[in-house]
Amino acid sequence: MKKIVRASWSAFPGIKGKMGLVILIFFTAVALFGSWVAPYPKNFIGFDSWLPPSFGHWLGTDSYGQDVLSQMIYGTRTSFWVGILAGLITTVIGVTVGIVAGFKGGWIEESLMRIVDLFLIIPTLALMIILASFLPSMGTMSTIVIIGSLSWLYMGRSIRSQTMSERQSGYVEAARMVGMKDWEIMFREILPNITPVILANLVLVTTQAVLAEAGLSFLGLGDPTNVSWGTILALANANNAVLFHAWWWILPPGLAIAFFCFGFILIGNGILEKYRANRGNAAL
Amino acid sequence: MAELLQVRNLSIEYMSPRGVVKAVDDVSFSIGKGEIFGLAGESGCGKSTTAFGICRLLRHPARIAGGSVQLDGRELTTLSNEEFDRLRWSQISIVLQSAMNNLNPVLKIRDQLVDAILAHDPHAGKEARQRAEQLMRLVDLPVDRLDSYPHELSGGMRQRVVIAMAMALRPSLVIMDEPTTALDVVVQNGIIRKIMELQKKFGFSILFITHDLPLMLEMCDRIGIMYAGKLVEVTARQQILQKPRHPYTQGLLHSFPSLSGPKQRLSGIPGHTPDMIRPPAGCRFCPRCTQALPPCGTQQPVLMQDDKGLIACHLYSEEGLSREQASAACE
Amino acid sequence: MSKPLLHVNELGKVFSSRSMFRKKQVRAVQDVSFTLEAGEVLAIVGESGSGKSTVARMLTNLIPSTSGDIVYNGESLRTNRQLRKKLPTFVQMIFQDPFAALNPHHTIGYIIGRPLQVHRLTQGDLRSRVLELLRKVGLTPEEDFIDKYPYQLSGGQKQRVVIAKVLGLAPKVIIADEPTSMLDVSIGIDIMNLLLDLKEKENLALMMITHNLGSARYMADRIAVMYAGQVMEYGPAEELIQNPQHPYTKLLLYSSPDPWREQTEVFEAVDAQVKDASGACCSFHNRCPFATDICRTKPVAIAQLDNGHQVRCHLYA
Repeated sequence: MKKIVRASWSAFPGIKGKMGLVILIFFTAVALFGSWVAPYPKNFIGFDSWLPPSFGHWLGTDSYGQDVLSQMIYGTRTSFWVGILAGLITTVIGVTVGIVAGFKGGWIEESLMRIVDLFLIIPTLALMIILASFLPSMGTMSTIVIIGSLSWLYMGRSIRSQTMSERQSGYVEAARMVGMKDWEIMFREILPNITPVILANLVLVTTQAVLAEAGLSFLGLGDPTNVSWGTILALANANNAVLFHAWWWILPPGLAIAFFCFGFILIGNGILEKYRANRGNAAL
Repeated sequence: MAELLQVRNLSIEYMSPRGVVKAVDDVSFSIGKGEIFGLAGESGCGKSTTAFGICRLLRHPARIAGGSVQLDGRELTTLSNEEFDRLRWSQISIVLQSAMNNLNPVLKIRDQLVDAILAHDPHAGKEARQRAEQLMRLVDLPVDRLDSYPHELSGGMRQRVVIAMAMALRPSLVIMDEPTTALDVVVQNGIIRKIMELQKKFGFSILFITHDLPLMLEMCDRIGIMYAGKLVEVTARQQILQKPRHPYTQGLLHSFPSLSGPKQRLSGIPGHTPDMIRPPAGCRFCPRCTQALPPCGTQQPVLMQDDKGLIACHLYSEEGLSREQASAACE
Repeated sequence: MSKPLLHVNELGKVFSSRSMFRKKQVRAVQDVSFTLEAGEVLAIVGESGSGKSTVARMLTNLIPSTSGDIVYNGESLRTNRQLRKKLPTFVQMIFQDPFAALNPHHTIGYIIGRPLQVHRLTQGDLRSRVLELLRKVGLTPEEDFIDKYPYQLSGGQKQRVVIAKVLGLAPKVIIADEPTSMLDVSIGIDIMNLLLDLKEKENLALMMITHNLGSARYMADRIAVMYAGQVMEYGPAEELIQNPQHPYTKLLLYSSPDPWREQTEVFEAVDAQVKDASGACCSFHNRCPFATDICRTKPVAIAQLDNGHQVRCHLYA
């Protein structure tokens, strides 16, 4: 057990990386175990509305009479999972497209990059809104899929350029000499060498996903049955929380989004710094 | 021969994550006025580091840990940076292997030569342009190339420009670190002959550093051989050709296949260079030496002077030590 | 007369790059022919830009040729698809940079063992085959090396790993592209000796690409001297070194440092940078001290001298 802890601790290098890891662990803990800690069930409406923070309600109550702290805890779970899963989907698509385009070149690369360019012209959020409005809603899952399938574009580009530079390496030429099939060279030879870039990108893409989810929910296009940071913000806005000076309703979700993303960015920066120090690669 | 450069007990070390690396350990040699002195050795032996140490080009975390360097009787290690800068280019100049690729790509050749001249001789003024032309002629480059950019010249031509720049103020010592290694052998030959021609004409001393021992044997008067940070032998060119004394020198000489004489199998030198952070006790070459004696494994040989030059080897430290006594003293 | 193991016939390569307005063509290799037998070493000597590395890459099908033919054991590379598929088990290459040739993420055991799996060459225990290969290249004790990573090895050891990996595929021809230029000279001799020993033991054909005539003489039975994409002189190694015929060969010999020989005539080459590779005339004419009008205007054919010695020069036409 100690070995695992030590290995994960050193996998996140630098003071930035470690701070980011601490934040990430905090949110993970809330997402996983929050429902046991939350004082009140998810949709319990029973309290007086607009109560400021007190001992009974650490973050007060909202206009419906729900406990904000409980809302936040359950909301964390949703936002967290959407962020992580959408981030993973994005990474898988982005890495696959990037490596294949970068390695194969020719018409495969051309066509893939044209698709990327096409999607990049259209504002991502607008596209997500359109998709979210028209596709049948399957709850949070559809949010994850929509975000995941549209966010991979920048990552695809970044991975492609990394792959193109790795393609010139001696070990790739040696692998071709051995007669290895293309897919093996791409995923068994090149992929391990661009892992740092992938990880750094993964981190950034996850923050993108969280923000996208918040945005969609804020616009009412997320999952209305589920509570997330975005929905909390949406409800707060809809009920004129600002007018009522109910800062305890607005600040927590906003800060949560900010800190979550910040944590990921710290991790990403930490990894990038260590990678740069080892390789001196400016093409990131 | 009057001494121009005297290096005494020079030690250079640098910090690495695993400990202190003694890149140059207690090295002493001297270069006479008008002499071409070669410093030979393989990668990691410390020859380039020694040159950088002499010119104060060492960068953190490397530093001079001890010893003295005297140019014309003047101690260099204790000079302030400003005082040393005044010596640069006017007394000592350096030509590096990568110099031809480090010419400023956005300046014409003329501007770079003039810059070099004016930087060290601010009063040259208009004369600087004429001197730039003279310098080009000196290295057999057409004067109209002064208006070219570095990428328009071949590697050999660029290296000639760098040599011209090094000669701009007629220094008394020119240090050359692998100046032709990156060039084709035909181009290399032309440049080496040009360097020797210039040396005969102006009489400066050269400290020539390379791993290419045959090349060094064709141009240098005296040669020093370095191994793992230590100087193991210093002697005249003919001596090395006919009777190299240190086992490493012998091994090194027999690692270059020749183009003349009988075709024979060479043995090279088995093994690999020692760990510079924890070098072996005793002679650093001992683990690879086929002529090792009992003291070699435990006692470091001292660099001694005799009629043939300098030698640091137990084989020569006592008279009457015969080869028959040699046995593998170390694993 | 049996078929030679490798027969290269008028091989040529033109690189064309297309930009919006111009089509640029570079003739890297032109009309190159030579043969190679089992147990024999051929050295291709040339400076940078001579086309020697391009020839090596065409022989291993890393780059397709644009003219001429490469024939292995009577089978043409251009027409025979089966040969192309099975090429890795027939001819292999050792690269110049041992540091870059090994994937830093794999262990030595994987690097040597994986090619054996790809070509289904192990009927038994993969690990013991890998250990055997490590023994063959002198990386002993083998158990120590098999689980190490490339960064833990020295340059010479890395190059030995490359050789072990190549040997695993049991090729008949090994092409070594400047195998020692990035290593210390004393290590380089070890590697060259290893290649010569393996050639004897495994009855290989070895092709060595180098810019160093001394190494070529040390290793080779025959030498081909290349300049600007063409073979200028080709013949038995010792004969070519002691009795060079082509002016370029003479220039190379003269320029190579060799303090043991007595210096004979000074060879004054005209210093020029432009290489004329159009094939319309001799590509060496602008640097050759013996050039005459015919050299500048007429393409040169190969002249056969005795002993299998060939020269491409108007002086012998």
